[in-house]
Parts: sequence; C-alpha cells; structure tokens
Amino acid sequence: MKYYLSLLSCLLLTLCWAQEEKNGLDQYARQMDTVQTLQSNFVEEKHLSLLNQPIQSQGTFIFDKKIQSLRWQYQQPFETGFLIEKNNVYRLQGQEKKPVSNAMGRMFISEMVVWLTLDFDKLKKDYSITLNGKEISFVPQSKEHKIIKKITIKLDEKDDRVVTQVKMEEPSGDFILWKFNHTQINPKLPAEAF
Amino acid sequence: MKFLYFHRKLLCFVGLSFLGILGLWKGTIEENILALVPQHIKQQVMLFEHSPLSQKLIVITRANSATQAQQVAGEVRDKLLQEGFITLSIPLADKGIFGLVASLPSHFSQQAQTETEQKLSEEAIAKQLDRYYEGLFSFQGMLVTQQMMHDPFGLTEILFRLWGKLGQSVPSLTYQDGFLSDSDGTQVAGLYDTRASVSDISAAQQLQRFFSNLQSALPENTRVFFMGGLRYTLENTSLIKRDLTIITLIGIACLGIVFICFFRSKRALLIYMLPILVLPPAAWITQLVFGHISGITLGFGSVVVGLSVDYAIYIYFALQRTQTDPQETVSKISRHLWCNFLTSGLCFVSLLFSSIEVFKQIAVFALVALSLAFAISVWVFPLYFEKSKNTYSNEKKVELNPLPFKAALVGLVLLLLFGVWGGKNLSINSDLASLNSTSASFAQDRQTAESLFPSTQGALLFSLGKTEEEALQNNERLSAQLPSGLPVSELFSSEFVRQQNQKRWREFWNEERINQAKELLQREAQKKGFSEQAFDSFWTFLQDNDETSAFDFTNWYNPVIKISQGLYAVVNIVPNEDLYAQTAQKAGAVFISASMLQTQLAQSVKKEAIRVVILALVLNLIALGLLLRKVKETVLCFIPVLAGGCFLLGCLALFHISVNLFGLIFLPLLIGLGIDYAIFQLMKYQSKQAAAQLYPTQALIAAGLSTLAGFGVLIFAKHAVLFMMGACALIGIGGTVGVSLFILPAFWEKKA
Repeated sequence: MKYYLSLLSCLLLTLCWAQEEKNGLDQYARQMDTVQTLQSNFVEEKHLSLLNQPIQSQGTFIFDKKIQSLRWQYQQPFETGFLIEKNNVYRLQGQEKKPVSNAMGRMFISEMVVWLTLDFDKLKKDYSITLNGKEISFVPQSKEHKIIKKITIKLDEKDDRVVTQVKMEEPSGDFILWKFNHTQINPKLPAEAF
Repeated sequence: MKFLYFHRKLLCFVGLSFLGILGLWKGTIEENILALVPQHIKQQVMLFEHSPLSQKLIVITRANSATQAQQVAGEVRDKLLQEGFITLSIPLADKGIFGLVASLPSHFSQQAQTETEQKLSEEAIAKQLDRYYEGLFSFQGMLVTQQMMHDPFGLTEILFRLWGKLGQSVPSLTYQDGFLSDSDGTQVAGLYDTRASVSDISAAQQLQRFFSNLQSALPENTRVFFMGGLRYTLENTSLIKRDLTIITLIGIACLGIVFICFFRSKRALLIYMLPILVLPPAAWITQLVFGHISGITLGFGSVVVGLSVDYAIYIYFALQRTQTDPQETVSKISRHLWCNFLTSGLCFVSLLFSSIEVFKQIAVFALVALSLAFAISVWVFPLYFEKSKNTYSNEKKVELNPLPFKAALVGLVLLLLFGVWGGKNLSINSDLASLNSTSASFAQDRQTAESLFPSTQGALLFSLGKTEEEALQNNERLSAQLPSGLPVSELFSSEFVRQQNQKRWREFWNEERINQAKELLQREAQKKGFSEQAFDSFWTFLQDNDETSAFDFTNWYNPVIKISQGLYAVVNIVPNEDLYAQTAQKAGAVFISASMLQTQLAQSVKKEAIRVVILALVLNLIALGLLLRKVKETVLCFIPVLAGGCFLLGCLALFHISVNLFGLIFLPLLIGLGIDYAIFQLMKYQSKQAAAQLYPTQALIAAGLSTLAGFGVLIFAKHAVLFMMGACALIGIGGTVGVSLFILPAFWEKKA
C-alpha cells in the first residue's frame, strides 16, 4: 500500500511540475506573440573539429512578423546571408540576391523561421523542450538525428523576449554559438530594410 | 415449340450474339498507339514510347519573371511531395557526400583521371580549400563541413560535371536548382517520378484536382500544369467518356427522328436491333483472329451500324411497296443487295492490304458484321416485315425531282473543281499526339510544352542489346565513334568499363601519390587553420576502397529500358544532327527525332492511303464490270464516289479541318457507300414502272440518314480520331447521298 501511495505521490509531483513547465512555456509563447519586429547584431562562432581554432563571423538580422520577412546578413569576414520574403527565399552573395529553390535550402530556411519565431507548437513535434529558468533546451525526439544533438537558448535576465545566446550542438561534438547584442524589440523597420 | 420453330432463324443469330458477348468478356481491349502506325516505323514509335522521359510527370510553370517561375516551381514540387504524388529521387543527403565519393572509382575514366591530376596540383588544392573555408561562413556551413571532410580535393565535381552534360543536348535549355528553364527563365519544367503508373486514371484525376486547386491560389499571370503519360491518360479517358455519352444520346435521338419520319412501325424496330445481333460476334471473331482487339476497332462499330442496317432498310421498303410473297420480293431485289454487299465488302478487303494493324482489324470486323447483317436481312427479317405492311404502304410516296441534265452537269463540274482546289489546299496532320486528343486546354498546354522542349532541337538515340550489359557496351562503342561522345555512357557504364575504371583508380591512388597528396593538402590546410585529422575519412576510404555505399545515379535517372524480353536499350538525348543519325545507322543503333518520325509517318500514311484507295477503286471497278457488264453503267456508278469525294476534300480544306490518319479509313468506305447509292439508283431506273416501286426514294434517304445518325454524330466528339471519322461521314456521305439523289438520275435519264 505504501508503495502505491509513494508512486501516486511521485506521479502527482511529476504532473504538477510538467503542468508548471507547460504553463511557463505557454506564458513565454504569449510574451513572444507581442514581438512584431526584431533587430539585432550577432556574432557566430563555429567550433569545428576540423579547425584548430573556432572561426567567427559577424552580422545583423532583422525580422518582421507581419510581412513574414527576415534578413540574415553576414558582414564579416564575407558578405553573405539569406533573405526570406513570405514564401520566397533568396541567397545573398555580396550585392547579389539569388532565389533558392532547391529542397534542402528551402527546408533549412523554413526551419530557421520556426526557430526565430520560437513556434513551440511546431517545435514540440520534433523536440523535447525543457525550460530551466532563463534557459530553454531542445533535444531532438529522434535519437538518430544526423545534424542536431541539442539546442540551448539563453534569454535576457530583464526581458524574456530577448534571446542573448543560441548554442547548437552536433552529434560529432562540433557546435555553433550565436551571441546576440543590441537587440531591439518592435523597432520601426522600413520596407526597404529587407 | 411452335414459337421456337417460327423464330428459329432469329434465335440462332441471337445465340451467336450471346456467344460473341461471352467471347469478348474474356478477351482484352488494347488502346495502344502502336496499332495505329504503319509496320515499318512501328519499332521507332515503340522506342519513342518507352523512352524514360515518357514515364515522367512533367510540371511546367509559367510566370512573368524568372525569379517567380523558379519560386513557384519549387513550391509546387514541395506540395507534390507533401501530398505524396511524386517521389523525389533519392537525395544525396541520404547517403551523404560519402556515397558520392564512394562512387568515384567506378567513374574513374581516362578523362576523370586527367581531371583528378589537375585537382591535385598545389594551386588547385589551395583554391579548393579557399572555397570550402568561405563556405563555412555561409548559412549552409554544416553541409560544407561534411563535404570538406569526405572530399577535400573536390573530386565529386567530376561526377556533377558528367551529370550536367546529360542535359546539354538541348542548347536552349538551362538547368538550375533542379529545374529546366528556357532562355529567359520565365518557363521552367520539373521532371518527377510518380507513385502511380502512367495509365492510372484515378491518380490522374487526383492530380488534376490538385493542380486545379493550386492554380486558384497562384499569383496573377502565373500558370502551372502537368504533362506526361498521366495527362494523356486523363485526357483520353475523360474525353472518350464524355464523347460516348454525348454521341450515344445524339445518335439515339437522330435514329429516333429517322424512325418517326420513315418507319413508324414496331416491326421496323428490328432494323435497329440488327447491330446488336451482328456487332458482338464480329468483334469476337476479330479478337480470335488477332489475339486482341483495339478500342478504335470497337469504336468503328458505329460505322458498321450505319452500313449493316442498309440491307434491312431496302428490304423493308421493298416489302411495303409490293403485295407479293416476301421471298419473291427479296429475290427481285437480290441482285441489288448482292451488288451492295460486294462493293462494300471489297472496300474493306482493300484495308486488309494495309500495313496498319488496326486497319486490318477493322476490315475483318466489318466484313464479318456485313456478312451477318446481309444474312439476317435476307433470310430472317422478311418474315417479320411482311406482317406490318398496311400501316405505311398507302401513304403518299415521297419523290424528289432530280436536276435537269445541264444543271446536273454544271453541278458535277463545280464539284470536281471544288475537289481539285480542296486537294491542293488540304492539310494532313501526321502528329502522333493528334491521335490522342484535341481538348482546347490540352492543346494549349501541349503547345507551351513544345515551346519549352522544341522537338526539332533534340533527338533520341537508342543503343540496343540483348541484355542490359550488352546495350551499355554498345552504347560505349557508339560513344567512341562520336566526336563529342555520349554523356550517358560516361555516367552509366557497363560492368566491364566499371571494373576497368576501378582498376585505374586503384593504380592511380598508389602509396606514393597518397603521400604526396597528403603532404600538399596538409600544407595548405595548415595555412587555413584546419586540423591534421580533418580529412581522415577520405584517406580511410582510399585505403579501404569500400564501394558498398556508392551512390547509384540510376536513382535519379535510368537511361536503360527494357523493350521486350531479351531486348534492352540505352536512351541518349542527342542533338538532331545528321552526324548522329548516320553514325547510329552504321552502328546498328536507332536514331529518332520527333520531326523525322512525323515526316516518315506522313509519308507512310500518304502511301497507305493511295494504295488502299486505288485498290478499293480497282476491286470495285472489276466487280461492277462483271456484274453490270456495261461500261457506261459501270462508270456512272462511280459518279457519287467521285463527286462525294470532291465535296469532302473541298469542305475539309474550306473549313480548315486537318486530316489525321483516321480520316483515311473513311476514303474506301466512302467509295463503298457511294457505289451502293449509285447501284440503288441504277436498279430503280432499270426497273421501269412496276418494279421501280421496289426502290422508293425514301429507302435511299432513310439508309443515308441512318448511316449519318450512327456515324455522322461522331462529329460531336472531342476525341480527334472520332471527330475526324464523324466529320468525314457527315460531309462525305451527305455529299454522296445528295449527288445520288439530284445529279446521278440526270445521267441515267440522258442515257436512257
């Protein structure tokens, strides 16, 4: 009997915790809903086993939820990037803007939109999501995922809507780190910014 | 018992009809275009049909700009995949870049060796690492990492170059991001493998619904549609279903009108029951002779309906006009009936000498049907027609006044001139696709597809062999004889060449070369900051030479086709140039270009037409000469044929109706019908007063209108073949009946 009671207690505790976490994610999702536009600078660090030293690149990104546009622009060391305008995707190379229509490129970029808007409904289908204070972790549900082992997002201490760091770990041990700074929530973005 | 005895003859034919239905039930109906082409170009058409491209789903996107066209095409592809309509060829990502690297040894030709040597120079290695390094900073950096680790020298580019060469045969097309596009990029095409077979009508209908829904959601001035086997299946099936419904309804309505105007008797209904008695056994016997029966032959049933009832109509009217014993009346007009049967039959006999299988089928089918119809009309029906005499016999006779001699002569000359003009301006459509369908939207889409893939630019070259390996080896030999080679032979090699390539690869990557390449790579890699272990997987592959995970390019495109048991072909897309045609001929390969095939088909069809028409004319001339034994009468019997034929040619040219292959079936038939009507008029004018009532004008009009009701209604069909038969019937038979009624009598009278 004692055994069953303790099992029931554990189950109730787990359910309460899960409910709390679900509430936390829902609350966070509601907060993210208030974000209509975003502008930020980023530093990207690639820690790859094939390199003796991590490589670093810098750039900016702007995002407008209403017109579903995103510009991810590397400025150093090379001027590259990508641009999403509704369902259209372009590769940026210097001043050139070329459409991307190959399936892999499109998939990659649509995945980016899910991550940037933190669309939890979609993410929950593929990842186990854990909220831990100001940190959200995503682990692929499929253990055989070839590209991602884990993604960790760090939120700003003062404003949960601001992401300060994203770390993406690969099964090989390689990882990529994005650090965001000078993030502005809902700035006015002129259409020509994209 | 008495009932059975009385109806014994009719019951025998009813039994035969049931037997025919049973026989047909177990047989197969074929809808293969091969049955429609002359024997000597059958192989080329068959190869054309088996080309790998004919099995693909081709999705064409048109937009205002190149960017928009590419984007929409990409979205459509994603949705088609999502809905499960297409299977994308196994992507490289499934096996990773490692699969490609593993397939390098099999493709290591002499040319590939030269390219590899160039890629191993210090300068080339530095450039390659620069490219990789820059790629690491792009948003596709993760993919670059994999590529770099497994293929540090960029050797897989050699394979991509070979792949890219496959599409270079059509110069105006470019290949970008998985799509073929025209010069300005506003029209792009995606080629996919479908889950369904090309003859799956249900899949074709689902696909059609998908594209209809999709179109409504697309931006203005953007259009997406699909072509390929599934579209043809959809077009043909939908059209034939629609046509059959409409034609049946209109045909029944027309026959109803003819019945009300000329018969109005229960017994006369038997005349229209005749086709039910003769068509099933005729089709069954045709099936027994050829082993199968074409849908087109069965479709020709409507023609036989029109012809077969003629005998019964003549007998019916003869019996209504006389008070004598039925058998005696029938014997009085038997000479006319035999003449009719003989002339119609000989026209179909001429089709037996054609090299087009479906013509032969039609000949057998029609000859059996006409024989049965003749037998039933002469031996069975008179018994039944006799009883319905008094209902109609007292009605006023309808007689039409023929033209006076001079007017008839002028009319005849005008018709002849009209025919000469028509013959000069007539266009013959030898396009194979025109035998499939003519719906307006389909024709428009086909035109767009044709503008994107102009058939004049490219051609197909088939290397044949008893086995796949033999076909591939023959293709390699043929490639060696051509200055630019055949790209297919480089990417899809025979087992023999693959083994040679693997041997070459092993000899090339000896220890000394590996060490040398390692040293150069590491020196350049150090400058960029790459670690020493970065390229270990490539060196491991060189040592193990494990090709088990090699990427198979046939997952993307398989140029080897099985034509029949023990006959394989490798299909090459080549420029439409004489050099390829001549080299192929010397090597025993088959070179086919759409334009060449069209020309050959047009020439063959013309030859067939001339042969069949001349034969029909000669046979009929001999038969009539023997029967009538008078030169003038024999010659005059050809006036309706000649004038009706001229009227047909003139009208076809005047209304810009392009004659397809099936218009030609009608020519001998027109000869037969024209002579039949002429014989009817001849008998009438030879019979003088008393016996002339055996040949009332109503009989000729009723026979002509019945044929038109059964046959001419095909003009309402959308299907090109059926429409052509209907158009020729309506104009040709109409003209022949008109000439027989108004012009020909003037010549008989003059003669008399």
